[in-house]
Amino acid sequence: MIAPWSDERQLLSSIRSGDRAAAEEIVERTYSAVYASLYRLCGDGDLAADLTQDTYRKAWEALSGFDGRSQLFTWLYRIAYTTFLNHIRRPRLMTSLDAPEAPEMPDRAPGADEILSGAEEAERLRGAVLKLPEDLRFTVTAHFWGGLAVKEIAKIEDVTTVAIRKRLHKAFGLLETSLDEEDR
Amino acid sequence: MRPNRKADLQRKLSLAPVPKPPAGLADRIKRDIPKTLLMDAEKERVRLRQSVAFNIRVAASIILLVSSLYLALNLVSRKFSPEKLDAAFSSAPAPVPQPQLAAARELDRVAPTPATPPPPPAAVAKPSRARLDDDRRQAIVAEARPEPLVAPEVAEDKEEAGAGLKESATESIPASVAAPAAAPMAKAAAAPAAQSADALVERFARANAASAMPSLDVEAAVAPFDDAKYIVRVSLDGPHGGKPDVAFNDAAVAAWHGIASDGTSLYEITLRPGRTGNEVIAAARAGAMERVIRRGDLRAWDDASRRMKSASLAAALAAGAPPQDVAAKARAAGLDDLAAAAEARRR
Repeated sequence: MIAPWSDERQLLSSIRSGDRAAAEEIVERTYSAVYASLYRLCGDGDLAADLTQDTYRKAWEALSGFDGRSQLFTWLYRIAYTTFLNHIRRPRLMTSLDAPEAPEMPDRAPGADEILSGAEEAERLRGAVLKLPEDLRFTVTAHFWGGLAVKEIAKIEDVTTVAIRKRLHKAFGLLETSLDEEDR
Repeated sequence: MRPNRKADLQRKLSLAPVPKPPAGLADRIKRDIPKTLLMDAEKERVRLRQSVAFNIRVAASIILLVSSLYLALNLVSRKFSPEKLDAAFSSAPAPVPQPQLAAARELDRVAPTPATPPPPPAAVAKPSRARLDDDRRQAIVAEARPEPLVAPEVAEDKEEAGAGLKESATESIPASVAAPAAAPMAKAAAAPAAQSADALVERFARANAASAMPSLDVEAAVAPFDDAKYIVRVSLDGPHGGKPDVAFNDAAVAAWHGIASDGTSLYEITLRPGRTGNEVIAAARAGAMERVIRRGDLRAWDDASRRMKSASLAAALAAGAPPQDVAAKARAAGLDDLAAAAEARRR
């Protein structure tokens, strides 16, 4: 999914020198992961696709500012996450996660109780994650839904890996509490 | 938090459903790749080139400015440098001996220097090293003056100077200098002198102690019998093989003439109206030694050194100044030997 480090740097160098094919290669290598992350965040396939497109638009504009300290996908995930936050913060598009018109899960298979139950469970979990404080929410989503290593998250958050692990531990505690309250 | 619960949460988070991206998403994204992406590199290159060009222009301007400044300073310093001084000395035409000087030399040939030792003159303060360096830098030489120098070579022509020059001296002395009341020393050129100015000056203006190294001592003070004039003394002490060269600054000195030139050279000068104290009056040079006298260095008679007073009064005596006046001045200055010599001449 993610390009090797040296290969990635070579592609970036090519993009900067005006190689369009290199830019398309980067898209091919990363768009699935970006889409998956956004889908997990928003729970809507169409919306995730739009946000993925927005993410890359912003990425092209900001490419000259990418300093290469982190991996390209980490940088893309950060843009995707911000794009998602900007989307849900827009008043006209803001929807309550608890509301009936909350995004539907496209994988929901009608009549399959087991799958439905799993999907509901996943939706509840997603809702609980999105209610976490910002730093914990980003850490959890980046680690579990974006597939970023603790070290990478620490790098872009400019904190230590220990701090990231503490965030994760705290987030689990809050998630457990939140899910338990819903169960009652 | 229970470990099982945590593991369960981790599993659920990790195994959240991951649908495939919709078909055509990659193409949509690729279509959004800006066409200017290709242009960006060129733009960057142009911007970089412009930036480099601007920096080079700034650097070139700074270098040009510094070079110009350096060149200007160099030219200015060269104009007043010791080399220029050398050039002035070396390019100056052979000066014509002054009438008084010739007369005094003639007298010197007749009257040998007395054997009696001179009274010890007061120590003369010498300019500091820094001051000398400063003087060297700022020395102004009267380049335009056709006869700016006292001729050390004149001594070699002593024999030829002779009585003929002595006779013509009276005619060539300016009226203002020859006026008896105004300039007793100048009167000497016309009056018969019993003893040469050089010998008298050398006798009474000799250095206090013999120096192992050559030294150039210069001083300027008001003339003993004419407050409108100044006496410039240039003494070359210690072992040396020549005579000091002296150049006067025409801008500051209206007129000058030599009084004595053997060992201690004396010049009577008339200054132009004063400017700044830093204005150079004269520059003296002997070998590598150089001294500059500025307007601010001029001393009143009472502030002059013992050596200066001795030389000036001796020259005045040799030039025919009234011995009783010389004796009185000498006594007032504590120069008893000179006073005695003047009184002896009176008798």
